[in-house]
Amino acid sequence: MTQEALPRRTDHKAAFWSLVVGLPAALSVLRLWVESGGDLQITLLLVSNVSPLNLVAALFATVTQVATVVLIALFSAGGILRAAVEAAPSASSLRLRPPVLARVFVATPVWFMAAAYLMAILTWRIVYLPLLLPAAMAAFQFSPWRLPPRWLAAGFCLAALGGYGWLIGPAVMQAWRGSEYLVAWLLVLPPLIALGVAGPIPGWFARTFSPIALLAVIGIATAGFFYAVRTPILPLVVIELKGRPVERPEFIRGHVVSVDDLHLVILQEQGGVRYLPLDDVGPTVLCATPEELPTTAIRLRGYHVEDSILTAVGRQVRPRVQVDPLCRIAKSATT
Amino acid sequence: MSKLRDALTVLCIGAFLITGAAAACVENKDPKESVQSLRAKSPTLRDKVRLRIGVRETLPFLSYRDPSTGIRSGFEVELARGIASDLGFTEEKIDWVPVTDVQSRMHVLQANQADIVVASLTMAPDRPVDFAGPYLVMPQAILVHKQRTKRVESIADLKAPDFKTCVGISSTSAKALEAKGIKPELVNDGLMCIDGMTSNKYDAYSSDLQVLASVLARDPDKFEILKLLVSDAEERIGVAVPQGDTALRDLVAYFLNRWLIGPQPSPWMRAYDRTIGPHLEAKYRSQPRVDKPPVLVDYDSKAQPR
Repeated sequence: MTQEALPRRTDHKAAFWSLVVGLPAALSVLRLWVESGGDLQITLLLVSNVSPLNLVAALFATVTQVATVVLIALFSAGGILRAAVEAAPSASSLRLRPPVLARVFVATPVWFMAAAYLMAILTWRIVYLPLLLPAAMAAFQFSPWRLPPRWLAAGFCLAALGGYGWLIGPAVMQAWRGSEYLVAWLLVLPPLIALGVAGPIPGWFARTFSPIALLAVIGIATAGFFYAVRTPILPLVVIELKGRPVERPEFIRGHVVSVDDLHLVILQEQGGVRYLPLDDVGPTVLCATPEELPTTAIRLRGYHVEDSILTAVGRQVRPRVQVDPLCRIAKSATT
Repeated sequence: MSKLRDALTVLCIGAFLITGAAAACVENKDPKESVQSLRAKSPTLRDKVRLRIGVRETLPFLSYRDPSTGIRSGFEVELARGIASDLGFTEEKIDWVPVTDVQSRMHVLQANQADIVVASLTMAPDRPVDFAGPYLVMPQAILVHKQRTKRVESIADLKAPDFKTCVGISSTSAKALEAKGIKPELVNDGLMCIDGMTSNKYDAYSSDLQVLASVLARDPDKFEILKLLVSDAEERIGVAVPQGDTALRDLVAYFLNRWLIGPQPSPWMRAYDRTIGPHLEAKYRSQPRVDKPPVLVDYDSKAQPR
């Protein structure tokens, strides 16, 4: 790309760093707000008890996946449009008014893009990982099969596709037999798309694609934002209170905010805060939420396709999953 | 050539967008039936914070309550504890309901005095309860006094007029013996057969092998089990649940099947080895295949299978 087509502007850098630092901070505060159920006093209670470091760590652990989806979508569309601008005639409207996504793409440092792809590889669900291949080809406009010598490039591509087919074959068969066609599609198609997704697109298509892609990126970012602010920052626990009648025990599902010498403060799942005297606190267990239930049974070489690589590695380190009986009984008793 | 390449690129970008949209669809797909959602559908379990389990109390290693300590033990007790735990009830949230004869085992479910019964009930389709399982597949056998074994060399010897064979009324053993032309003495509870055997009132006691193994384990010097084929069919022993509560039936079947296909030793195997297993032949040391286990998801579904 020529400097004339899409000049790098220094104010892009300033905006970029403002975004990188400011957005997580703002998002963290908004999450506390949503977590409190919109109650001002509870928000203040959370702010006073959740340390900024924990907040940022929780944000990183839960939002990385969503953030990288937005970034990868932006880079892919930006890369495609950048190639279109580069290929357009000098008097073309694409050159005179380059699309926003192409300008943002140019302003983004390469190391940042590489970091985003790396984080995506680690945190995306395995079923979505194949999408990173066409996304990378689109962003960096790289077509291995077009490299000279063509016969070598074609051989390499065929071998890579063969290896990929071996890797995903059993999972695709399992998905097909289980009528999970979307999963099969997501595993099979992306590498094939990756072969042809790079390359300058015609001007008419670029002008149509640009606003659609921008709207799509904004849509993904908006959905990601709402997902991010709704994701809990404190772990879910179930506490059985002591001293209750045997035939009518009392359970509390919620998030522990703080513990001192006298009380355990818990933000209840259904809303509201309770200060529990420590003498009342009985068995306490960590529970999963229904959102964590898998939607498919497909496994890729033993790994569940809804796990990320990080999660899969984690499962190898701690393979045992324990569903505490208290989690089941407390759920049914409170709903 | 250039136009073809452009068209190919446009086509691939379009396919990429559609595939991205498909990914969003996968992300927003509702989970399949889960343990938690099925649990909410069970009328027996709804709003329950304690589980009532019907068990027997007189069969050591199978289902026993120590009268002096009140401690319960045995294969069926441990199995019941495991199922209760999977359903969400820890030991202290179990109410044990003592059951005796076949009628009482089904009656406690019909009268809403128990939520499940784990008490060597054969999975017979004509019984007014539903079954999950089997958790044991056992033949019917005959327990006799050691000193009288010589009198019984075949099933036909049980027809002798002076030979008294005891069986529990409504049991499948009674039906099997009657089908072979043997007229056993029917009693309400198998416990009466055991007492009668101890007091020499009866010459033989016919029941499922695991029950007889329990009796034998208590008094191995006095009794022995004959290797005679009482019935061609083996008894499929299941967990009884109230009739019509298919959600509870499916949940129990799911947990039993998860033990079968999950990491070993499973709760079934551990319970078996600790209790009745050493008193039965090695060929019975494997959990039987479960009837129609449902496909459910649970919080541990993503963990590595065996």
